[in-house]
Amino acid sequence: MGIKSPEHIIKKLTAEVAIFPLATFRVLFGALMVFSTIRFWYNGWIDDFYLTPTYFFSYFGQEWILPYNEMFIYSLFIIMALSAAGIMLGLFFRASSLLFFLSFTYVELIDKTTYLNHYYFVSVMAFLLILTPAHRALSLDSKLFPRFKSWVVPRWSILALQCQIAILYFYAGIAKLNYDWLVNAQPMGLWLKSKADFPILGQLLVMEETAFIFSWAGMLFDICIAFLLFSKKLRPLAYLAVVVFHLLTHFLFPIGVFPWVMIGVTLIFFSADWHERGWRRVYGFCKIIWSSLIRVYTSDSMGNQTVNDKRTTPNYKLSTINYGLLSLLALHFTIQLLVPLRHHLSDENLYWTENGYRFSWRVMLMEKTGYLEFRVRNISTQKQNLVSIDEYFTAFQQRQLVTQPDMILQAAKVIARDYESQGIQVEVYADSFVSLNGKKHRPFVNPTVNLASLKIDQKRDWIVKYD
Amino acid sequence: MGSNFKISLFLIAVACFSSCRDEDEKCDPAPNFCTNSADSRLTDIRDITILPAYEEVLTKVAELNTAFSAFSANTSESNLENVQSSLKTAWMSWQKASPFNFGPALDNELKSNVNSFPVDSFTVLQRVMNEDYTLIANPTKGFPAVDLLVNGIAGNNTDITALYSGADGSKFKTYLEAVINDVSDRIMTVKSEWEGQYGECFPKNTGFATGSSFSLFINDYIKDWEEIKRGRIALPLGLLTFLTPLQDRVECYYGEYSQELALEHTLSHYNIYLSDSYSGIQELVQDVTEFIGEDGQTLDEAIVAQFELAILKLSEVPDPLSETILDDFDTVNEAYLALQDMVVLLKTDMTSGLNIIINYSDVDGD
Repeated sequence: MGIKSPEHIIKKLTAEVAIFPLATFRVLFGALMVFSTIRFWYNGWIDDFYLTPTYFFSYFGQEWILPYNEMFIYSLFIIMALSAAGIMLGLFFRASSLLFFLSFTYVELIDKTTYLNHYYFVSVMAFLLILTPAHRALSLDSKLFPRFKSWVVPRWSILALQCQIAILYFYAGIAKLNYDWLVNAQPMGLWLKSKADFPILGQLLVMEETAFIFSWAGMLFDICIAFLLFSKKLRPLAYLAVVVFHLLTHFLFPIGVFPWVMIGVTLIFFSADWHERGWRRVYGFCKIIWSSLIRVYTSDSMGNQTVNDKRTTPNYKLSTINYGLLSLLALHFTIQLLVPLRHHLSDENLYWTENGYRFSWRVMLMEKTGYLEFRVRNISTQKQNLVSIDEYFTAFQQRQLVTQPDMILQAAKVIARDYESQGIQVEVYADSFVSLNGKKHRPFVNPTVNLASLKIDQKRDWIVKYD
Repeated sequence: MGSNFKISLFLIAVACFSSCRDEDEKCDPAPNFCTNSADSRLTDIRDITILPAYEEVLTKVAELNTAFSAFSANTSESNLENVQSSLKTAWMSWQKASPFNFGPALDNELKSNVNSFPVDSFTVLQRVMNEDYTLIANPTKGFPAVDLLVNGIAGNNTDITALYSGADGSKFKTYLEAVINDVSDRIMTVKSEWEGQYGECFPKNTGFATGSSFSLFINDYIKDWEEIKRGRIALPLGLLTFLTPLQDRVECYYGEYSQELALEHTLSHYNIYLSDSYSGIQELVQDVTEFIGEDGQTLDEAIVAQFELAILKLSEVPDPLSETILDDFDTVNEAYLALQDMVVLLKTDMTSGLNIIINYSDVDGD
């Protein structure tokens, strides 16, 4: 091994490899996103999350990202679904993937309430996908624009996606290396205790030992799985573990499409040969049923031409090494490696103040419940008034709001502005309590701090210390 | 490798199939669980807590109706007093049926139709005079409207009786009859749904997940408790209006026994929690181990102590509440604080310990 020269690394990264794993990824990712978008719509969540609320918890500096109106937000979801279909079919792929990335990310940035790690993951994967030539074959583009057709892609395009998945798992695993998770098996114990009615396994799930096994197994799985998936020998076993792990999470916890996304995208770790066989099988299988339709999809020469022939005769010459793109990727991964560690910059208790909690692959890591009521004080009369969060925020928003400091601060500002608009200058205080991982509730926001006077990026010393 | 591919394809297919089935159930919160076996705790909640509560209030409303008929036939002060006391009994027993505002009660908007206050006295009297007996907007009906009509249309019972025997007497009687019948019909509808398919499926929708029977039950139990705190105490006391008391916002403004109603309501919550004759909420809470309170107090001990405190503090508030809020802010405020501390225990510690998600909405997590 030894240290390789930059030239060597670049040569490795840009080496030509078969497109099959990338094409599989493109199709599955696109299909899952079509499904996910339709499901979101079908469940009525567009209305519930983006039209019902009066106020939205914007990200810092992104206050302009709003649903605006029914027409706008529904159009976004239509664009999202169509562009996801474009990714799946490989139709106008660059535009499709760019549009999907933009529409999906825009929607995710509207309201912190809807933040989920797996939505963030989708955004990041979509971003990487824009940069890859995943549509060079097994796509409608390669049929429409045969000039650009190629059975090979640069290795980095597959490696980048693999590394991103590895980062997700690895950081999710590292995050589980904490006292409550490993020593108390919490919050796993809390979650499993309510599963007594689970078919057949119910009584097993509520046992304390099970919580420990799940906690430790989950931690080990997350930390190791990417390395195992990279290993050719252990890959089949590792993938079986991926399927079992995510199926378990699907059946035990309400986490939507995330298990399917992970089961789908981790296939990218398999070899090009494996994927090619898969494509041939699918092709052969589908030929019987939809022969005409599929002929458009896969080259009609695929049946009798070997891959080697194709590899040696790419219709499209890959451009010379794109240093700009490689630098962009290097920057991307540097950020990806550093961002989840940013909480080390502060001495706060991460689980309590959640400073640096988002965008860090802390997946299903803690159980927080809370109670929050605001108190406003009329500055001129000094009289106090209780303000219920019901009046301002939806039940769905409240659930996130009560335990997340930055949202509490934003809510306080909303209330202050609302009173101001009625001509009443107020100070805003919060009476709030939070229970972390089932422990007795503690006071959360310092009830003597006027939240309206704080800056939105204020150091979170207005949260009562957790020790 | 070929077989690996087949296996994974198979696993994905199996997984997809099972996921779709699960989605269907999730998308339909109505009871489609009747194939499951019933959970005995849920059966007990239905048979020992919920159904008897509806039965009792129905019986009491029927008695109110009987008393009203007697008063209608023979409009005398003593018969008016009978109506007034039957109203109080019926209203008190409603407090036991109030915490179940999910399923049939929610579908039929029972709570908002039966006990929305303050009653819009102006509109009620206007409609009486116009002989318009269709009951539309919620603040013109339910127990608070009966309260207005039997306790509040004049300063004393002699004058009220006089109104009922006067020129407009039949108008008052017709409106009052319509209100009592509406209350009775609505409770009857809800009760019969509980005795029908909904009740049959209720114990079969097991578990603690969002949309499960127990989750619905607990969510509304807590929501109803918050309404005691907020709607019955904080609001009239002026805690939501920069300390300007709102006398007419009490539950029973004309009959002047709002404190008694609130206390009964609190007691009914306590009894539901304890559920003496079966293993209910308390037994589940007793299994919660993560919570360690002051002096090693368990969550159950903390909740029981808080119930006792809330009941004590509420007992110390004299009726009429609409006057006490003006004369003795501190006593009422202490009752408020005791009710409030209970909300924190229920909303943070109990939901966390039982792993019940508060604020019903079906949504993904991660």
